[in-house]
Amino acid sequence: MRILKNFSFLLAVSAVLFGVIEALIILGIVDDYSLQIICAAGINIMVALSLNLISGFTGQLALGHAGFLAMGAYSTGILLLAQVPFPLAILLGALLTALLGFLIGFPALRLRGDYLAIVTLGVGEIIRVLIINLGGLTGGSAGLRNIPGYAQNIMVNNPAAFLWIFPAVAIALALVANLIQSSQGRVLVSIREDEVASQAMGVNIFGMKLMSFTVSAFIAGLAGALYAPFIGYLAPGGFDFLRSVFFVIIVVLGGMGSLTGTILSGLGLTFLQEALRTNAKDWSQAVAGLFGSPTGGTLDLVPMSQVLFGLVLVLLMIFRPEGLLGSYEFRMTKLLRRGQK
Amino acid sequence: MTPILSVRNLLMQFGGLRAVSDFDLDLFSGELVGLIGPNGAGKTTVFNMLTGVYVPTQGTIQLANPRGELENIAGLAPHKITRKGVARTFQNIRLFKSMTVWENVSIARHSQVPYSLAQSFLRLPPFGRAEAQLRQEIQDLLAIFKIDHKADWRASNLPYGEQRKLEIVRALAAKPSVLLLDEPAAGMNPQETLELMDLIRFVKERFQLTVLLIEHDMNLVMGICERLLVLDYGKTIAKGLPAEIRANPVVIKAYLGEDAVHA
Repeated sequence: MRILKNFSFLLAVSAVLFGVIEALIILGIVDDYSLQIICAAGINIMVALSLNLISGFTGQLALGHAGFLAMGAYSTGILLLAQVPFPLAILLGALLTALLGFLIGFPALRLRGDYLAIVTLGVGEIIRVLIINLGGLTGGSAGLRNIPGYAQNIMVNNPAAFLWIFPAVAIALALVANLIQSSQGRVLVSIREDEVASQAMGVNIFGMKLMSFTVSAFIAGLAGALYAPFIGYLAPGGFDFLRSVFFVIIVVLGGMGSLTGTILSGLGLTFLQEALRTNAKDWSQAVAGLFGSPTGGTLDLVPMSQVLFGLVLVLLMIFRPEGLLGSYEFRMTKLLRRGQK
Repeated sequence: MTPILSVRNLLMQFGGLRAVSDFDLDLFSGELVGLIGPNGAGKTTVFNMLTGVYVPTQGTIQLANPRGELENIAGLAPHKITRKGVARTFQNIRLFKSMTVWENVSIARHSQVPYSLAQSFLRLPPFGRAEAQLRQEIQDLLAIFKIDHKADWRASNLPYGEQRKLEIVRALAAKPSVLLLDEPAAGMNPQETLELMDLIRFVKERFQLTVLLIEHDMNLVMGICERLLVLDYGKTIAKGLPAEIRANPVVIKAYLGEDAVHA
């Protein structure tokens, strides 16, 4: 069975990769800082996977996934602060976000075309504004502090977080990959391709879109739920529209409809963003030096990272509108077949 | 004898425009009926009402259920009508372009897939067996139309004639009792049209279908339809055997204008 082979292959690769990184952590080759970025990349990848499901595969553009991430993160954060047991708090965070997705999707997905994009954009902002204004529950704009971490000892929180986040990414990937390669998944793609024809083939397109959107919200919520104890401190500013756009960039860059692409671009863009953040000062001095100002005090490249992302997107749309990988998927069975020839 | 599809007093009004009015139709099991008329006569509007894309302003559409009783389907959602046994093709081909040939066909089988969403997520039995069986069924169906060797082609890479064929196969995979074909010969050359006529006859017999087709190609219509309905400006202006329609002055006038009748 081709599909079953792919599935077990995915599990095997995940297990090996997990073992390797875990070994590198224990040996001290991957330092705490790198590990933190790896974990952040894992969170971003999960959200991007969920966004790819609804936007890339089902063809319904959603622009509010930072809102889902916030919903999962704050739910779990608040539950953890209320001494709810760890796994339960994570699961509830994801489920509450799925419920939110269902409730938004129910009216919004009845509309055609780009209305979903506008509705999700609005909902994402509403969630953020609610977080700011429900200060008693969420800490308001000052943020939610002292969320219990994965480990009692804050110094080993990142390695402990990795033990949760990596398997979660693998599970999310497996769930989405399994869904895509099933009859339900084919139906989602058919909705993207032609709603009218899909309907005429007996597909309940509203029901299937709602399913896709709810699953998407669940995975984004799970990412948020895992994010809260990882970062320990939540502020509404981290869940604004730009964050939603960042997820869209990951998906579009990797290829709408390619899970492999989402993972690669999720990793790449998270590291790039971090590199821009930490090295921007050095780089800006270097650039300013080129223009004859040795002090480099006048040119600040830190805010320029957004410009760079924008530029990458523009270039991508011109030269490779289907994304870096298009709808290509890495499949072990393909590789094996090629090897036999 | 009771019809398999019975339509009475159908009216479709868009604002002040009566796209179709007073439309009556009885389709009997195993018939091949043609719906013809000049451009803009309302033929596709009739199809859209029969398949639920439009909700008729007035009138009833009754379809025989498996027990042979007529039930009203007017205004049901398109996917429900399809599941009750009315499938269609489109005037402008509407395949799922980026999907493969067999995936296109599999969409029509989705409502009959025996595994649930949870079983898809977790790859639980009967997922594997059901997928293999589905693939085999579709392969067999494609083999009947001699496109099984292209099962893994992207639909958009098929030649035009085979895209039209695939649309028919996809509609058949929904296991309909009534098949609606919207201009199946559009864009085909005379040779391809001849092959299509054979194909439609074959499909009708093999799958025991009742077929209603819209077509502009009069060779095709006169060649295979047992009965014809002629629409003009949303009204049925003639009904009857192909030979009668061909000689009907009202029809000639609708197609060719007043002068042609007297010529």
